[in-house]
Amino acid sequence: MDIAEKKTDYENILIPNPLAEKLKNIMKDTGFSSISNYISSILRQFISAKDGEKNLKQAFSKEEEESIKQRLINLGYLE
Amino acid sequence: MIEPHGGTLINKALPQSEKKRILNEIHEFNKIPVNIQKWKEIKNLSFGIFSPLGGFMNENDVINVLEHMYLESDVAWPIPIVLDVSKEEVANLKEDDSIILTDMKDNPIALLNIESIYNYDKNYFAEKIFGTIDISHPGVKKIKEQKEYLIGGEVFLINELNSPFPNLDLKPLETRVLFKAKKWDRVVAFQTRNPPHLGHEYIQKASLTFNDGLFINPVIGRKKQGDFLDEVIIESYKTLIKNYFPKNRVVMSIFETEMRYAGPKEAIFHAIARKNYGCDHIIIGRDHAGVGNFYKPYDAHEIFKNFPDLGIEPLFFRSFSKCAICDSVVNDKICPHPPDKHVFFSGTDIRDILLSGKKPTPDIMRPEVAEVILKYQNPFC
Repeated sequence: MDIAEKKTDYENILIPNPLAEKLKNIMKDTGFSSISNYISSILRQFISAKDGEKNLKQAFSKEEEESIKQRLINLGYLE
Repeated sequence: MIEPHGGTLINKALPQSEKKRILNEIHEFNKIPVNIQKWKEIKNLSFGIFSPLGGFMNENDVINVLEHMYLESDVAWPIPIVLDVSKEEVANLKEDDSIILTDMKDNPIALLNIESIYNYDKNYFAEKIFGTIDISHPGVKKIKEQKEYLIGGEVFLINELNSPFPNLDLKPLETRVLFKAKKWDRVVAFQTRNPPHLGHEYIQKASLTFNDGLFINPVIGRKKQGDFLDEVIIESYKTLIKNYFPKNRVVMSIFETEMRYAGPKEAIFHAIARKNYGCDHIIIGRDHAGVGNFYKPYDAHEIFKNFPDLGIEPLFFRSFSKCAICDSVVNDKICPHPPDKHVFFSGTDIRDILLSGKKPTPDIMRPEVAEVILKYQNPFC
């Protein structure tokens, strides 16, 4: 099958009609083309905010940090 | 500091011991040569600039990116990162094979664990990425020139490409340590492919006013004819920083990738790369990564509305001019004076002035910067 013919997976989620109508009104000037895209965007925002609450892991160890600092000094980025 | 895109900073550079083992057994692997542009993408994949990607995209990711601008894992990503190969090259390959990607002289670059081999429709790719299949668009032309199959899979870097600017080529781990050492909590990124004029300096300084540090990150690599040479961009920025910026507030380092001219989608791509470098803001100007009239001037502003979970915040700027009455650089939001009182910063006009061997006036470009550019007999690609 050609790549353009394939579809991605979706999950159907039901929401009450009055809520859907309210969302349709709110999304009018947002540029979103469908209520599904709009809800996906809202959910991603929510999940992102939740993720941000977690403690961030440091991307480097103390030893790595010192070795990188020395390289940055050699390159003139740090004094 | 802002977390890497997708939560983890990818590192796919092989440790020395593993590299040695693979090099000892290299005759056992199939090899595929790749050009220098792909080598740069392998570098970006290997050092976390493209986090969370750790390899060339598989078919499912490509479909999700083209259709929704999200990876299969639901992490925002706007442009496929793919490895194209010919029918002849894939003839002896299958999924789960490990192969060596080499340069054109058969020197090993990276190990690739093949996860998928698939074909694709070039028009579909071009339409989804660029919104057009017009061959006069440089990105469309490049896709049309790609080979007929794609290979997806994780890469592991064996040999890094020699940097054209080795002293200005920091990796995300290094910029993150640097920003921390400088005690910069808020870092704003500036993407560029041009030497700076006064309009650029204005938006950089306006952004820096509300941030701790400015990360100037020129795109170095294949561009289109008429763009400035890489060394002209670097030297002109060195001059601007030396003369007009406080030393402890600005860092410049290169980003080796090719311009795709995908306009708004490339703005998202640029934002993600800068997030991985540790920046939490990025300046997005007028017609970011645009070409010709393929995109509207502020499409690259509008697209960010669709990515509330991107993490890095865009700082939008409109066009700038030098107002004779205000006697300063302004934009249409802050200046009430009519257009005939303004000198507009037009890249095309500045190019024309420089091409004629003349120095742009100080209203447009710092004299020291103009002198650096004019030292080059031909500052353009």
